[in-house]
Amino acid sequence: MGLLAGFADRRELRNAERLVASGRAKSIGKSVSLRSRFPEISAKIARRVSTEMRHTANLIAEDAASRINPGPDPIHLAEEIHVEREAPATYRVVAGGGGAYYGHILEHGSVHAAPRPFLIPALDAQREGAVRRTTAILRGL
Amino acid sequence: MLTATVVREAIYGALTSSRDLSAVVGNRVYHAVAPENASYPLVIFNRQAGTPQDAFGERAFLWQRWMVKCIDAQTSSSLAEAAQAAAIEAMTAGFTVTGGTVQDVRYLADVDYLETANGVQYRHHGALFTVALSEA
Repeated sequence: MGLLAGFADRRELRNAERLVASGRAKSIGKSVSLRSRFPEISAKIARRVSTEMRHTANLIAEDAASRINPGPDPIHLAEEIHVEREAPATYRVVAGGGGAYYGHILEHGSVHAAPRPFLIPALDAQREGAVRRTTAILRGL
Repeated sequence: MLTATVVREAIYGALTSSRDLSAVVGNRVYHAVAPENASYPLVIFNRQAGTPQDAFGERAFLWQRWMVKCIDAQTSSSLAEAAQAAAIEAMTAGFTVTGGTVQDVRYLADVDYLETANGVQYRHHGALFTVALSEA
């Protein structure tokens, strides 16, 4: 009986012994304390997903730049597309800065010119890969 | 078959049949760009992107991003914003396409900016929509 103290039956005791042997639990006398992996997993999720989001944002920026025909101007919008970090795991792809102010006009059109979208198509083209890579990260935790 | 023309015509129909939108822009609804001598305010709509979505080795959906915006040449944005609200309502109310099914129309984001051309300030107010379609 003494051997089973703290456990409902022998099967529960064997399970506890397995957990101790695998390092996922610590034996304290006749009972075990389970070690939660949530803090470890939580830290890994934040770090790995943030890295993946930055990678995806860079891919969207490269894709968007490749969709713009460089014109004769000395300042080219394609060279001004960049990634800005907003928050952990949140990145913004910005088309503009420097002297290239016309990203929104190109994307959405002007009174005299039809839209020539480059940002939304780049986002959509990279979406499936981002979902696939993020799913792989979560499965690997 | 879901061709670009079929979807474009369906969206044109949804926009031109909106009473609230017609109250602001009349029948001045154009695809991609307005004619040179068009009067303002007017509405422009354009497909911004289209991506097929496969599932189980078959084509499941066609995701399209559509922009609908009003352009006005007044000093106030009020009329263009009224048209923007009417366009959002007309689009999200749903529409039908020949040869396919509209599974979902989602209001994604606003499109708002000013443009100055030849000394005139133009106000662009509209929205982006995600339209999910499947073949009949």
